[in-house]
Amino acid sequence: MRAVLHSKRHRLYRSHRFRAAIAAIALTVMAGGATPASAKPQRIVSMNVCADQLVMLLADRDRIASISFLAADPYASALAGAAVEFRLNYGLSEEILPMNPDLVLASAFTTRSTLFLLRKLGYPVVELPVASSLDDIRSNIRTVAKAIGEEARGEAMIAAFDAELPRQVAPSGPRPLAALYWANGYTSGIGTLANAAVEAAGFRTLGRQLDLVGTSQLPLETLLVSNADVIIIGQRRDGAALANETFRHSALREIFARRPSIEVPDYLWVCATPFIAKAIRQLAEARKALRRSGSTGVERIW
Amino acid sequence: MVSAAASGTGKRAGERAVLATLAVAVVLAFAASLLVGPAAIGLPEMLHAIFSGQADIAALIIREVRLPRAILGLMIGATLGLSGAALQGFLRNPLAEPGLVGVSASASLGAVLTFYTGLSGLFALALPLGGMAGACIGVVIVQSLAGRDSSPLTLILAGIAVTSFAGALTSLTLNLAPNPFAALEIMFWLMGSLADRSFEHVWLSAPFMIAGSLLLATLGRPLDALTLGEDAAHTLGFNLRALRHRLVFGTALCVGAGVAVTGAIGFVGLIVPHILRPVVGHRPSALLPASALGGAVLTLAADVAVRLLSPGRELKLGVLTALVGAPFFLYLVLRLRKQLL
Repeated sequence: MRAVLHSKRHRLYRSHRFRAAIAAIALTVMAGGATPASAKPQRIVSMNVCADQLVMLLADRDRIASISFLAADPYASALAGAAVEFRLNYGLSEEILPMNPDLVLASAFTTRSTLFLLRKLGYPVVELPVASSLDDIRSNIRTVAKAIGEEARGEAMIAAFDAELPRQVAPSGPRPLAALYWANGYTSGIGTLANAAVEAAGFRTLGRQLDLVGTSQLPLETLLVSNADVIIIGQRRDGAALANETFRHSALREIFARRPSIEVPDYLWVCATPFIAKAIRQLAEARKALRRSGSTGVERIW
Repeated sequence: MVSAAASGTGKRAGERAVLATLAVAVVLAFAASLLVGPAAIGLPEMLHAIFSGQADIAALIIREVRLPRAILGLMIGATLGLSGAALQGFLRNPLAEPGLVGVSASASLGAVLTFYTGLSGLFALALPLGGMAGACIGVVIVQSLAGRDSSPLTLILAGIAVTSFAGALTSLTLNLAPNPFAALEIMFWLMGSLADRSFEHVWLSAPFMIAGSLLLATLGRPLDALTLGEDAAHTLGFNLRALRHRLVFGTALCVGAGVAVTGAIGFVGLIVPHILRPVVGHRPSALLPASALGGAVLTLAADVAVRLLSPGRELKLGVLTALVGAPFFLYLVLRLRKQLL
């Protein structure tokens, strides 16, 4: 009972502050000024590695109270170096509540019970959907920019992203067939960012050809008979994992000896960030080089 | 609680002492569960937070994060211990545990399906509700498979059949998960955890767990009679078929509701009756309340340990109970072998 009463009071408190914020916006609009800093969230907490990166790119450093620990993982995050300077969280409500955030960014796969608790206690939570296309990247950037009150920076970021994308993806000429092959024998099919990026770079993808939807398993035999012109593989993680055993298979090694392969680090396209433009650009370069030389060996994209 | 009429007064006093000790341990473990967590909150602050009614962050954490977590730990541990003791008594099989009647696996499947279909993202309580729906379907199937027969063997076989089928479907769901994030989320949920549960989870599961516990608590005397054998129990006027129905529905209510909000937490229902049997004796009517208290202590203690062992990045409770439970079970096996030699 006490708890219920308490949470109501808490909400009331927050709504009071909310009203104050609205009043502040109204005042500045009347005065013809820009939105004051006080109306924007000042203690942003992000609980998801993708939201982490967008908020690091869009918000001023002092407005970010905390980002997730995965943001500092060099395999998952393109901003791992900068992330270590922030307070990192593991997505537990007890870490987040003492920061008294005025905005919580999460993903569709953040622990449900934690989000439920945060919402129930009146904290504004914004969930980012998992991006499956380049358009989703633009929409996620807009979502985060709007939530943190930096719409102009968001639009600038989208413009820069669009500018970095290869202008003309040669619709004519040969489009080499690329097989995306990850640890554990997974591939990225239709509706994944990686597939969208590889297609945007002018390749056809094996996932599309086989009508594979989402991240799904690609049997080694299918890969062997596919006649892919190039194999795109993920960056191998340090540390023993059965997952990496796939790459030691002698049949696969044979393929690697005969076909060129391109190694792309996960952090470039695991999240809907503008960094994917870099991957697309370099993949497009690799495609041109491929057509010129027909070489073999691994090319790394960093 | 002390329903045994046949035992001597000295034995009963001993039982009472054990129950009192366990009750004190429950209170201590509950308090520890309120005190331990990533946000450092001392005892005075905690008491202030509970009794002052102020709305600061410490109060928020105690009331909205740790209190529901501790209550759920208490209820789930108690129902696991209770149903474990009841099942071991009914089946007269030391391997019996609450998961045996197929409810844990079918509740897991129901919950996992809400992940898979995206329902869990649409509204917050879809996940526990899905778990409960799964538990209901599971118990109906087990009951109809086990038939009108009162034999323990058919119940065990029906439970195993439902458990393995639901387990297979859960694996299939994982296999077909739309992306690695979804698969990971399902995997983590299946490991069982009390982290960040709220009072809505308590309100949702408590009625079922209380109803189930009441149903199981009445089984002491018939289970006592059953220790003399099925025929003897029958002669003493106990209807074994009715007993089995009450047992299965009581366990299903308790375990189904528990798994639905926390995921599967193993080994508690299996080892707690084993630990307490040498202390309170082999009479089920004495073992039932003791196991309920013991289960609560073990689960609360394990949930505190989870927070202490790896601050920040919490271990999953189900993983820890299995880590502690499996070696203990091995020890039981070794001791049993020594006794047999």
